[in-house]
Amino acid sequence: MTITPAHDPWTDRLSEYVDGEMRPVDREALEHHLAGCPACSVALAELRSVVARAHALEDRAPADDLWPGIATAIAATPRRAPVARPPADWWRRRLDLTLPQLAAAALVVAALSAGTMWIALARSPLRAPAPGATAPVASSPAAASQQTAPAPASPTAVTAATADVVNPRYDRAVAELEQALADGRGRLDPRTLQVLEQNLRTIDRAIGEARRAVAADPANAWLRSHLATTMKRKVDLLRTAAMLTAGRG
Amino acid sequence: MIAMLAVLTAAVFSTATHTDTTFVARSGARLEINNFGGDIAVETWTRNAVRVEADHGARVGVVVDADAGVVEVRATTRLGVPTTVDFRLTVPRGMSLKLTTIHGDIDVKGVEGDVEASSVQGDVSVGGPARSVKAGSVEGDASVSGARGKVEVSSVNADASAEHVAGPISISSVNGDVTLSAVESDDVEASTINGEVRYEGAIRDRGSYRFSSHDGGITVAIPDRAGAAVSVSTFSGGFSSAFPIPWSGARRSNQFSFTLGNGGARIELESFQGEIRLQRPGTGKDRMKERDAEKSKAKHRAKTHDDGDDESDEGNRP
Repeated sequence: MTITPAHDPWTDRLSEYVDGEMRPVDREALEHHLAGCPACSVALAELRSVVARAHALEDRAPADDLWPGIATAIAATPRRAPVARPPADWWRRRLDLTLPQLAAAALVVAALSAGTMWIALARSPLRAPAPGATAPVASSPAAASQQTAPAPASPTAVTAATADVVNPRYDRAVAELEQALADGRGRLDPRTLQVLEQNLRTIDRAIGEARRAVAADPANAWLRSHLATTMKRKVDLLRTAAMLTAGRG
Repeated sequence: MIAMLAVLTAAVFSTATHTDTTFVARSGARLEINNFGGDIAVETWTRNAVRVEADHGARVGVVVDADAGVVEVRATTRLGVPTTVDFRLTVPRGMSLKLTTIHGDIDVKGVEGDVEASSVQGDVSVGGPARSVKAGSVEGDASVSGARGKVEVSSVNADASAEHVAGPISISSVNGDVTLSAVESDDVEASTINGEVRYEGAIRDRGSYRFSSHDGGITVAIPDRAGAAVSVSTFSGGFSSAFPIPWSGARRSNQFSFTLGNGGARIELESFQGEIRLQRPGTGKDRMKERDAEKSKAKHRAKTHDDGDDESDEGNRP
């Protein structure tokens, strides 16, 4: 799905909405609008995802993450990497981006592979994007394949309804992280591995349920947002798992 | 001699199974421990010095490496085999800490600096007026209390909790409950996939409070005079309130919003298939305590069982 700079006046106010700076009356009107505007709903979900990702990434260089620290503890040769020093109020920084910027930022986030995304984003701020960039909402066929309950719609209907939330780059990043976990599973404590895999299954089940809900109600802004958020949780957990395995290698 | 330890690397190899050393800490220095196995417990004192006590195997050394504002304490063996050491540290109150362990608990009390603490298999607990806290565990509980600044708490497969905290809070679990109590923050984000979310604390004007779960319920205590624009979203869950809701305008059965008082704060309540409940502060506490006590007992039983299954002479887990 491609999002172009829209003329819908609400799109320019989504950042304000996400930042909680909108007057209650405007907020209510926007939420009413979101219920009937899939484009804005998708943009909102992407915006939340991008802002969350940006906030999560700006404060740390790769070596400043908790889990590489754990990895260092068991590495043969302890290393100390330089530590990023974020501004004291980094978490309050407001990302005041236009929709095209957000769209491209989402693309940047999604496009970075498992092996490079943290390094790249930690070293440079979100770049000003080219107008008209693609901003897909992520989805995972792998997650869909793990659906355990019968879907309310036919597979064809599900495919059609969710076609606009499929993102091959996200899938690729997930696949790479899953591969990293598979490659390194022998280096993890079996109990920890079991816990990680159980929790990944839990998230996959939640993703499957959310995807079916979106398929049944494609215009539902909150469902789309919930799906995107849940998918991000999977990436976060896979990242943790990959770092644990890599650190012991 | 003590001062020299602050600027030079000091390796303390011994044949004893207990290390106890104290060295001067440079003002502003951060202390780091990357432990493989074993607990880390930290307390504070008024001295500008760090005391390291460690229980370990006979062939294990404790190394103190002070360099460029970072004091690193680590266990080492002659063959480089990962080992288990229980550390007890006493540090200046203002010191910042970065603590990690794989197999072990972390317990920090009274530190006023920045605290990062993570474990893979153990519980992590940070209590006291820390400037900021980042506490996380994969398999164990993560809890923070009393922090003054930003707080991040996360667990993958257990509970995450925060109490008596005032700064921005981000707290999450995947397969566990998330509990916030006596919170004085104006920026709260709490989420879990398969668990309950519970909140009791201030609802401040212009504050932002976001609570979400996929499978579990959400229970939020709203003070009598709180003003908030509240949005409720669920797919197949329910909604209930212990007090009258001032409905206005059209609403869908599973997604709606309403305004309490002046609408100054923003509260988002989202559960895919759990019950969303609003109540007044103080109600339901007994039930929460009972539930927490039950979970604590179950966890204790599981831990006792694990310890019984996991006895080894040196406690090493290569």
